[in-house]
Amino acid sequence: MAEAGKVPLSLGLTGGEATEWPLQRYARCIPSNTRDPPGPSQEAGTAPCPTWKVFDSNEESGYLVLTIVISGHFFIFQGQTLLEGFSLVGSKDWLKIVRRMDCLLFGTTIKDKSRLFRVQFSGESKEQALEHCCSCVQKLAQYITVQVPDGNIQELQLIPGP
Amino acid sequence: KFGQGTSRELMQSIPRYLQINEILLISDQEFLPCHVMDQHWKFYVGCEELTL
Repeated sequence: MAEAGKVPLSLGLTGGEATEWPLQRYARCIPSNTRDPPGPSQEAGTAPCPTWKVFDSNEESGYLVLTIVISGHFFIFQGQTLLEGFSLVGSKDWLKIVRRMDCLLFGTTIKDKSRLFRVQFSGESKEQALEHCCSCVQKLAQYITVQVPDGNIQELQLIPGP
Repeated sequence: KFGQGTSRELMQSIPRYLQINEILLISDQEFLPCHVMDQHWKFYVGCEELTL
């Protein structure tokens, strides 16, 4: 039963204090060159943000865990290393989140500086990873609206057609 | 600060968020101007998947 991505933690409430979800990956966006003028240089279908610093969940580097504490604090750990930590309370002014399948993309803007990071949930199957993602979204929804573009036609209309 | 009586059991009962021993800071190169982030955002919202 030692499958990759399986994290030995109890899902759901751990002592009523915090909820934890196992992650497969966590990645931070590293802009290639923020001084590039936006637009024409980008080819259609090419990711405008080519570089992601990826952290994988494994025994060697440590397992990745997303935690939401009952106080509204949001954390991402790899082992005992803190990768993200902030309060979700009042976060709708500076944080946005979108879900795609079993992944979440986070965008933060604080003092005119923005950054992006994303996570992919893990599970014993793709379905379970998706369940983990959805239950995390439910928890996040207590504090902030999580976009789900699949059911949001207005969002999709922003994408230029072929 | 824990005394000498700290046992493995006690450590396991302490929540993960109180056992942080390292913080990976955000480097300056991870920041991007708001309008650039908005462009990226629109792109990723339009993606079928975000899987890396």
